[in-house]
Amino acid sequence: MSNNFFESLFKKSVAILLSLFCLMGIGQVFAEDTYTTYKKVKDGKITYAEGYDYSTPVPKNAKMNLSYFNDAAFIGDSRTMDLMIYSKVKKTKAAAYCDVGLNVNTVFEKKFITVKKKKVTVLEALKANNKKYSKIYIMFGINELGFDSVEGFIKSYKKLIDAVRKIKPDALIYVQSVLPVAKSKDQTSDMFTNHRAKKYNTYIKEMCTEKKVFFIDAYSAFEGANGYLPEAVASDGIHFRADVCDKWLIYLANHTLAYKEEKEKAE
Amino acid sequence: MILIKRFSAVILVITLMFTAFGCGGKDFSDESAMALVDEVLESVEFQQELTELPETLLGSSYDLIDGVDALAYSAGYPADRFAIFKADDAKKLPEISKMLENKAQELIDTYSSYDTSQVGKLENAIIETKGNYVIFIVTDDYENAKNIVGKY
Repeated sequence: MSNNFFESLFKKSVAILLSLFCLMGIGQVFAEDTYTTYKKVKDGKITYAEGYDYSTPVPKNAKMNLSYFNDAAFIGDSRTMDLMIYSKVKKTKAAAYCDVGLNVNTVFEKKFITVKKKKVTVLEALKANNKKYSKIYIMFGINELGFDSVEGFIKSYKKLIDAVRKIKPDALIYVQSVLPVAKSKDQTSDMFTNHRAKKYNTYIKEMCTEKKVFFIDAYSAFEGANGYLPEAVASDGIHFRADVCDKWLIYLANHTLAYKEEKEKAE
Repeated sequence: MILIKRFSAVILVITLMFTAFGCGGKDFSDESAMALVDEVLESVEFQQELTELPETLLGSSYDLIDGVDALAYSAGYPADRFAIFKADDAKKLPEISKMLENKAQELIDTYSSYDTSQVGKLENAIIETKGNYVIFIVTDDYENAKNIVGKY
């Protein structure tokens, strides 16, 4: 009895496990499909799929080729500038609208980009550029950690998103969270602390939900085991070392929506 | 890395030779420019490794002037940088120098309210004209950089 019983039990267990694996596999396919339905092109216009949860960070997905960034634009401060200069994105046709010290207020005023021999602001340059961007990555916050009010920061950030969307209505807007700082910075500065960065990120996430833009949780990606940006990642505790910028780019390439559509385009 | 720097320098010279006709200082040839670029990149210390600026950032980093070719390297966030400009006409040299003086002042204004440790090197920015070239270097190692530029 016992041998047959155990043999039968073993076979049933294997069958159950195999079924579970199959179901998990199907689940995976469904999960991928849900990623692809966020955008529908109807009569030449882009609409967003109902039911997309904008409060959820963009999930990890299949890694895009470098060419994925050819029709991307990046708006940000010195951290974005490091990404544009040191990562492989510099080999693509991605546009860079970034500067040292830029923030959600000065981005409207600072004329530092030359267009037709004239210095213009980021938004003026974006408007003057006829290129059709599929995605626009925005990241601000580190220079604003010292602002008196986080509400004021968010108010300007929302204004920026509205302005960018108005200029490039067809582009998907990805907003990256404020990246963490290293312990050496956190503990010697009143302004550059992870406590403040996390607070700002909570507001940024809420803003993304309200404005229906995609939130990329880059903070979590670079948060070390001790809750800080690893010291080896940034020489001054804030700005990424040259060799780490590619890891950041890979994170972005791994966290995209429109998986199938973009993949087909890339091929 | 050295190979890449050398390659960039060779590309610079070849490009400039083809694009800037009828110019080139008597004392500072295209070969001198190539050697200078090599030596600065190899011997001058910068806060962070310099990398060649992509075209997409060249226009927001410097005011580009018609008839002037530029090769620029940046250290990202730190103010450290190295750029070399070649004019197709010597009359444009003062305009390039003025543009770089303005650039240095603009960076001083930016870093003064952001990171004052960068200001000193900007106040000592090297802007030097050699033949039809203008050289721009921002580094804490400016004495060394100045000596190297002075050799050519």
